[in-house]
Amino acid sequence: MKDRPNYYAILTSEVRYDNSLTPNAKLLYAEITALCNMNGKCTAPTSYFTRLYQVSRVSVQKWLKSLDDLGYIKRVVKYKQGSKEILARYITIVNKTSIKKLTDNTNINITNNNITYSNTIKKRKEKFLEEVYAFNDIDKSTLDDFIDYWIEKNPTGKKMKFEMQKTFDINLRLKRWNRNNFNKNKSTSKIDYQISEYLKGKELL
Amino acid sequence: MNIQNYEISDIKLEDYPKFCDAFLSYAEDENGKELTDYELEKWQEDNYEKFSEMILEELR
Repeated sequence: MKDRPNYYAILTSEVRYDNSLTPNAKLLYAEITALCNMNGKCTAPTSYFTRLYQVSRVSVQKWLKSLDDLGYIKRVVKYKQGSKEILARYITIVNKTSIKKLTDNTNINITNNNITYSNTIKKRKEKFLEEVYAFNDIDKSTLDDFIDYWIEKNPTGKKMKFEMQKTFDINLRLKRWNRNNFNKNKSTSKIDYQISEYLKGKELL
Repeated sequence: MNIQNYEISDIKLEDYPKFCDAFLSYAEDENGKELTDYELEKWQEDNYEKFSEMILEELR
């Protein structure tokens, strides 16, 4: 109980109604405001929150990252001059409304310097597009239709349809796509369209 | 356990080569099943060297 601050927490409406944040991230935000009220800034390490909420380190890191990415908090790391030795680390609350007011009237650009390099869906999509467009003997509209169909994301937004297949050979899939005239359904009758949709569905099974 | 379709977050160049903030935020096992946060953490701990290599690979 000693670790738990008695100070009240604040949950601003911006954070409360932000659908991009998970409920736990919002709770963490409130916890950080409580710590900031107590000390001016939050110096608690990630391990503090993992102990407090009995969750994994990755969960806390994800919540912190989402709050940081959306500009609700700022994670500051101070390095010793001329070296990579860390002098201090802390989290501050960012008042988004006041920042907006400031940027509305000036040319200040607020940028997020935390670079995330990852094997993201965007990267994988680009790779897929590159591979499909390499088939330049097939007309572009067919390739576009093929791409539109296969890059549809799953409900969690983490995977695309083509990644959810057990096997996926672009060459073979494109051949079948052409053979079945999947991309021609726009100009055909409703029945043809329904048959085409049925075949697509069947292919997924 | 081998992972695929992974995602590494919070790679900050300031603390190269430690990358102490970097973490495995998403990964799937060989069967395409998404790893839980606990599994991600454990994989990172158990495969420290591999994880460091993966970070460097992302930066290339």
